[in-house]
Amino acid sequence: MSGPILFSAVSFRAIWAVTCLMLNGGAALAADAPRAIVVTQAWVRASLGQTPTTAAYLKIENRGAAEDRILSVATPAAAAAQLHESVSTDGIMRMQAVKSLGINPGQSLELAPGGLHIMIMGLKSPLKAGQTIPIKLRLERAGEIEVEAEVRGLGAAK
Amino acid sequence: MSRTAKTFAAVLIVAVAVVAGVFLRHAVEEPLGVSVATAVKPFTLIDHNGRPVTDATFRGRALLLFFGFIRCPDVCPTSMSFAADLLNALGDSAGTLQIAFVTVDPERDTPEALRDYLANFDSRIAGLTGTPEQIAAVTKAFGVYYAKRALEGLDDYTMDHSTAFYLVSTNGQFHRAFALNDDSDEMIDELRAAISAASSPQKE
Repeated sequence: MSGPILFSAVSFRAIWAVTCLMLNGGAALAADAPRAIVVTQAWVRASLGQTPTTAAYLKIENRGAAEDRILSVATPAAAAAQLHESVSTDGIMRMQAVKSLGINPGQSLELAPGGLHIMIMGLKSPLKAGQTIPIKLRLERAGEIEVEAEVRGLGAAK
Repeated sequence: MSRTAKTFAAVLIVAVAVVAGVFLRHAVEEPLGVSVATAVKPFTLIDHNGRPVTDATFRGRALLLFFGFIRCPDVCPTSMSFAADLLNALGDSAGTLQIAFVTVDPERDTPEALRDYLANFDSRIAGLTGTPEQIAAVTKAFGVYYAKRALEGLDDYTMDHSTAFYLVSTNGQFHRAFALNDDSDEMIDELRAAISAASSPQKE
């Protein structure tokens, strides 16, 4: 960043971004303040050719003192994303949309293959191993949290 | 008889009874899969190389079938990763087992798509598709449920489906079904035992 004009434009953008984040709950900021909700180990399965669906997984930890809830999920990489659970009833697997997902204080929750996952529908372009895509979680208390999910091979189990 | 001899005899009788009991229980429980074995109903499908296959094609090897579909985002890739782990864990004896992924979405899952899909897990896994009628017949033969379900807000559908693994013995008899549980090591052990049972010659 060399010129003063460019610099001020960048500063303005940064301030605007920070303001937006604060209005959203400020959870994604928190460089120094301890965050109540910590999302780690985010990954998404590579897609096959033009197949428009895949699933993403992550670990979410509530280090705060109050329960929080994931209200929705989204990614700019696809038309839609939803919290889903693979539920087996009498040996028949159905994917059920999960409306919201509560995380108690001190609890950590793992979205992992074969159970809770983020179903990604309508991929805009195929996902290849090694890429990353942003995944946005909207929480009741913590607001919006964005994480980068690493794309792992179709055969990845974790 | 001395007191010691009496005690010894009593202990021996109890021991024999316990051992016999254990044997009897195993004799009743273990071959259950075999004793209830019924011949799998004939089926005809197309493999991932576009070749026609029937139930007879796989005779002589144990056959482990999974019913799923390529667009399945979670359970099917997880199950196929498990199937690949299973083949690796079996090492040399994997040759006695044919794992096959049978699509319940024949409209979209072509032989080529199945081949590309399964190459991501283990190219030893066969992909099977067919006409909707052929898929209806093979799923019926195994009591597999599947149904289309529209995805809300999208011009797309997903499938509800049974997600067990179905094991067919070398002589074409249905051996047993396995549920995909959380402990894959335990399931690998269990499958290995079942595969060796399925692979061993059975009384005709």
